Amino acid sequence: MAEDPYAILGVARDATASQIRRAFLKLAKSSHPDLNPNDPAAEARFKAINAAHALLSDPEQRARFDRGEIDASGQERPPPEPPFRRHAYRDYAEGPAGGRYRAGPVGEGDFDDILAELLRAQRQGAGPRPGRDRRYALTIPFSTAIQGGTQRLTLPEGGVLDVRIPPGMESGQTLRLRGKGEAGEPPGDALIEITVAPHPHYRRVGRDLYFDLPVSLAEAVLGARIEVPTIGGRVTLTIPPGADTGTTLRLRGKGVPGHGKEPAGDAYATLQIRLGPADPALAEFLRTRAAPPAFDPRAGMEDMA
Amino acid sequence: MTQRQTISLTRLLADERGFDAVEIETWIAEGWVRPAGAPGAWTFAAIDVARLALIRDLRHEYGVNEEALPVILRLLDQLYDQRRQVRQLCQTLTRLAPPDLLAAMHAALRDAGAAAEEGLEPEQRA
Repeated sequence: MAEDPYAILGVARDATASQIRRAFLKLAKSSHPDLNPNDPAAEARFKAINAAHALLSDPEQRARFDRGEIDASGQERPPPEPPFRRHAYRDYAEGPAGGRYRAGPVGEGDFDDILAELLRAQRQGAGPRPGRDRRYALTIPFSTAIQGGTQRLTLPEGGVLDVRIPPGMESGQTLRLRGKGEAGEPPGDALIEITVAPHPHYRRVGRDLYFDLPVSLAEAVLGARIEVPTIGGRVTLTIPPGADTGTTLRLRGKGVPGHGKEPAGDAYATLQIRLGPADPALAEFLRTRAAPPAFDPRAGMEDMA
Repeated sequence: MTQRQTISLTRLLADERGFDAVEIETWIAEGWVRPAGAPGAWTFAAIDVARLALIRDLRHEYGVNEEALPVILRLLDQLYDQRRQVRQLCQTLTRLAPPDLLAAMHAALRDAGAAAEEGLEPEQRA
């Protein structure tokens, strides 16, 4: 403590003993570490004030200081640091030891109030709480899965969701609709697992479509340009002359439409010759035909038997 | 702040200045200080000694009288109960809470503190 004790207490050098005491009390009240627990500097200030007061309140010491016989820190031996207690009361009281001087009844849980408050807030839903995700299952028509579109989902808890289906959906894929799940802050998502209904005519393999295409005998034998309904609309297809049942023709780009980086798939039409109603002229031609070409449609079946 | 260590009244009077044996017995009888042991054989923990020093300061330096002293002690005890709880809560949170929750709490408390300085509710801040 090298500072001038008069300066520390803020009194004149000729201050009376009662002026010094009043100054000390005033300062001590604003610096006592237990009365100012939020001020970390209070303790150091308090020690300095006490030391200054100890020096100046003792007439003999004060006289010696005034005569320059001792300096502010010199002869005035600072109160020996108590060997046992090294901290202000606050440091104990705020620690676990402070439980000894608990103001409330002993045994009452310290956190009962706080926890009760937290639980109450949670029950009342006070404060933002995120909504949970909800899961739904939705079956969509085959053509919607290929082309994309909108499908209405009726919710079990009431209401509907219009689900936008991107082109090329497959069974087992899940769509996430942000914010359409349980209400909350933020609301949860709706997770919709898609099942694609089978189609009577079309099969899907990857991004390609396969279907059987009935043709007449004349179209197969002579060749033809025919119109074929596909999922994407009607397309014109050329049947080469001499086509047979099982001939597969590719309709380029008529499979699953391109989407993002995925290129469009193809459609494959496998011809199925249909004879149609009985044709007496055709029957007569086959019966009277002089030299039909040799043809065994069952060749190879022996091996399978 | 060692808890287990204790000292006797004789040792206390030798080590610390400004204590009076009769006065200390009165404070104990009033329940303001609660050392372990029995009359004539008190053992003082560090917190008891610190509390005696606090009472001594209040009585002799601040001129607090015998009627006001228990009121002040009780208010201080309540204050320290609160601060002890907050400390414990902070320690528990530091131990158990995920770091992102701690960061969010820190930010929210800082905002609340800044709002309080402006005299606003946090919601009122644009």
